[in-house]
Amino acid sequence: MGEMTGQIVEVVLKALAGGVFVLAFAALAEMLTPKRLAGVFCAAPSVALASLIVTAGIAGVPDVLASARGMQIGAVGFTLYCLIAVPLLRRWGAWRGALAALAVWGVVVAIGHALAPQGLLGVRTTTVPGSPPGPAALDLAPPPARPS
Amino acid sequence: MRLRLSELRRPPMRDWAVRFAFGAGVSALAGVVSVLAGPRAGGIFLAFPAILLASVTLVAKEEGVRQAGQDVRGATFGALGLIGFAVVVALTVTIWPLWLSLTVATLTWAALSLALYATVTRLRR
Repeated sequence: MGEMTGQIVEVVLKALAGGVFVLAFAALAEMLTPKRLAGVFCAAPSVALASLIVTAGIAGVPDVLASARGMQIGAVGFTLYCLIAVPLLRRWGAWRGALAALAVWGVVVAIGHALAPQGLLGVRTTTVPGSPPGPAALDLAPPPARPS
Repeated sequence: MRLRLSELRRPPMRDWAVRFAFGAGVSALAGVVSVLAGPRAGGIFLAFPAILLASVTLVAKEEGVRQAGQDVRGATFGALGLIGFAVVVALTVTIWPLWLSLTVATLTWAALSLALYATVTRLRR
């Protein structure tokens, strides 16, 4: 199987698994009472679970770790999206309000992707005191040994 | 909290199809971004608010914008739980078996989002 075919299979498997997991969480939200909890399940980790399981099976744990670090940034954007969307829905209606709030998500994740290469925890846990700022200072790997 | 199986018959088939399509679409988008730009960039789309977007437009059409706003307010707690989910996976996936890491992360999401929801609802009363 060629590399391109393998990548297409990976995307198709993620799509199918994502659809199934979203249905599973939607069914859970439907069955659950009180109904006011339905909103919480709109932000369930359904797509994440499906995608991470397929990623682990095809690409391995290092890619799952990288995906989880990216997801931390996406989830911060999701939280801000929700906070902004409530007043925008009231002002502009469902479609326009929800789409306008999506711009906030886009800006937050773009900034987060640029500023936090190791995810939210990496910034805190991997900074070496006294080392210069920048992506190299955030790297988990030890610095290469200097020739004596 | 209770689970009622009979509630599954309530939404029309079309709603289930829309949800499946949105789930599959976002997962495919995350997969394509992952292939093109790497797993970290793809991971960002694991917390893309597409399911909420689909739900909000369906709810607004059937029950009004006010109810849709309530769902978005609830989703704020779910999104905070998603941060917890992603942090737990990042901390544990290299040292625990995958199934355990994802199970604990999912339980963290549920506990965090429902606890925050309950706390804020109680404080508002």
